[in-house]
Amino acid sequence: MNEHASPPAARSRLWQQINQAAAEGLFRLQVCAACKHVQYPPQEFCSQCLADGLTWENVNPLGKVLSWTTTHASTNQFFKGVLPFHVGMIKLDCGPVMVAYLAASCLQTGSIVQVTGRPDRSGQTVFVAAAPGSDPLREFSNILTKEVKHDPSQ
Amino acid sequence: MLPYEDVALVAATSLPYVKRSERSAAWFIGMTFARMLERSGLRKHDVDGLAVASFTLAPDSVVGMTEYLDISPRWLEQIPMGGASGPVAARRAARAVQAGDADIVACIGGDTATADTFASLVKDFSRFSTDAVFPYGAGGPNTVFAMITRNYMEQYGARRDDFGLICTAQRENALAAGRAIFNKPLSMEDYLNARPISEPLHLYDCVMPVAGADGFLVMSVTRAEALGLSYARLLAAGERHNAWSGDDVHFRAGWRRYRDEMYDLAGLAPGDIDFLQTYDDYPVISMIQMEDLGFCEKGEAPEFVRGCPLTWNGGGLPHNTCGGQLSAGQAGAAGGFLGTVEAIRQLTETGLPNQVAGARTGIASGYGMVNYDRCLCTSAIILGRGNP
Ligand SMILES: [Zn+2]
Repeated sequence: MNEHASPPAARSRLWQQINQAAAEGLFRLQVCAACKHVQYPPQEFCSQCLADGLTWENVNPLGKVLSWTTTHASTNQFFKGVLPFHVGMIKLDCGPVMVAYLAASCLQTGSIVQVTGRPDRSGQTVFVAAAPGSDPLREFSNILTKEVKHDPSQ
Repeated sequence: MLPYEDVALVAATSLPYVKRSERSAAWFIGMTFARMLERSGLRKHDVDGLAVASFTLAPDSVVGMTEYLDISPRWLEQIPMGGASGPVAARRAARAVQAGDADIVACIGGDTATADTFASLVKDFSRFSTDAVFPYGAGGPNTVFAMITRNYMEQYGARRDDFGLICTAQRENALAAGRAIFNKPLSMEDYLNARPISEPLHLYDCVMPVAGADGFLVMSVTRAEALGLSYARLLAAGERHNAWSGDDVHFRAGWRRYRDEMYDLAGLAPGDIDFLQTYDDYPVISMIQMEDLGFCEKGEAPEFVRGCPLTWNGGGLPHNTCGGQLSAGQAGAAGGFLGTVEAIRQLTETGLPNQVAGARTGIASGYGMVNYDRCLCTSAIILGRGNP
C-alpha cells in the first residue's frame, strides 16, 4: 500500500454533521420536521415536502442488502492498495438507500445488516454495513482509521 | 404535443476519437463545427443557433464557443445531460427551428481526455456522489452500475453471456464500420474471460474514456432540400428526467413515460423501427432501453437478445451499428451524441460499410448523469429517411 495515499477527503459542508455523529458513535441522519422523511445523502431541504426544516436525528441503523459489488479496480492510489473489497446498496428500514462498504458475510440480496459510520483513512466518515452486532472495523481495518475517536469536539 | 413538422437533421459528423489528447474540448467542438460547414456547404454565419454538450469545456461554456468560432447566434443552449445530450439537442433545436427562433442550429457534443480528466470528472460529478458514492473506492460510475447490473441479473435471470451478446455484436458492427478505437474482434470467450472491474462488471462491460466529438445540423426540410442536402426527418422526440425516483434499485427509466406518445406521433410501432441506437455505458442499460422503448417487455431483454441478432446485417434488430461506446470509447458528452449521429448517418448516407439495408426509420436514445445511485436523464428520438 502507498503509505501517503488516502481515500478521497472531499465532502459537502453538511457532511460535518455525519462526522460528528460518527465520532459520538451514533447513526444520525436528516429527518424532516414537517413530513418525517429521512433524507440521505444529506441536502439542505426536504426533497419530499420541500420544507426548509431538516434536523439531524438518531435513526434506526438496520437495513437490508439490495445489491452489491466486489471492486477490483480503481484509479485511486489508496484503493489500489486495498483491492478487492465489497460495496453494497442498503435499503435502510428508516427509508433511504445508502451505498456502504459491505462485510463479506453479507454478500447476499436481502441480508439484514446494521450500518455504522466510521472515519476512513482520509478522516472522513464512511458507512460500513455488517451483520448486526459484529465489529465492522476488523474486516475493513485497511480502509478505516485504527482508532475510533469518541471526542464530540472532533 | 405538437408534431415535429418539417424538421431535418443533416451533416452527421464525427471527429475521430483518440485515447488521449492535449487539445482542448473547444478544439474538438470547433473542428466538428468546421467539418459540418464543409459538408453542408454553409458559411459559418448561416448558423444562427448553437447547442453544445461538454464536460471539459470549463472554464469556457457555449458562450465562449461563440467567440472561438466568431459567430453570432440568436439561439444558444448548453445541455448538461451527458449521455442524454444528443437526442435532447435534436429535440430542442427542432423546436427552435419550428418556432422560427433559429434557422440553422449546430448541435455538438465534444470532450477532450488528458491523463487525469476522467479522474477529476468523477471526483466532482455531483454533491451526492462526492459525499456518498465516490468515497467507496473512487470507482466512478462502475460501482453503482455494477450493483444495478447485479440486481437486474437477479430479478430477471440475465446472465453474463446475455450481456456478452450485446458487446460482441457491437464489436462486429465496429469492425464493419471501421472507425472504432477497439478494432480487434471480440469473441464471447474473450468477453467472459475478461478481468473483473467491479463484479459483476468485467472489462468489456465498461467504456473507455477517450477524446472526440460528434455533431449534426438541424434546419427545416425546406432549407435542407434547397441546399441539396441529404436529411433525416425528426418524427418524434422525448425526454424525461428522474423518473421513478422511488425505485430502490434502478431497473427502468424515463423512456417508458413518453414512448407511446412518440410512437403515436411518428405513426410507427417498435416493430416498424429498422435500427436502434441505445446509450451503452453498460450493456444492462441497453437492455433497459430495449424494454422501456417497447422492443420487449420489462425483464424480457435477456430472452430478446438471445433470439434476435443485433449486428448491422444480422436480419434482427441492428443495434448500435457503429459499435457504440463499448467499442468506440466514451468521448465524454460526445457519447450522448454517438447514437444520434450514427442514426442520421444511416438514414442520409449511402454506401456505408455498415449500412443497414433498406433502413427507413431508426431510434436513438440517450441516458446520462449518475447523480447518486442511477442516471437521471433519459431522451430519445425517432428519425425517418428524408429524401425519397
Ligand atoms: Zn418533508
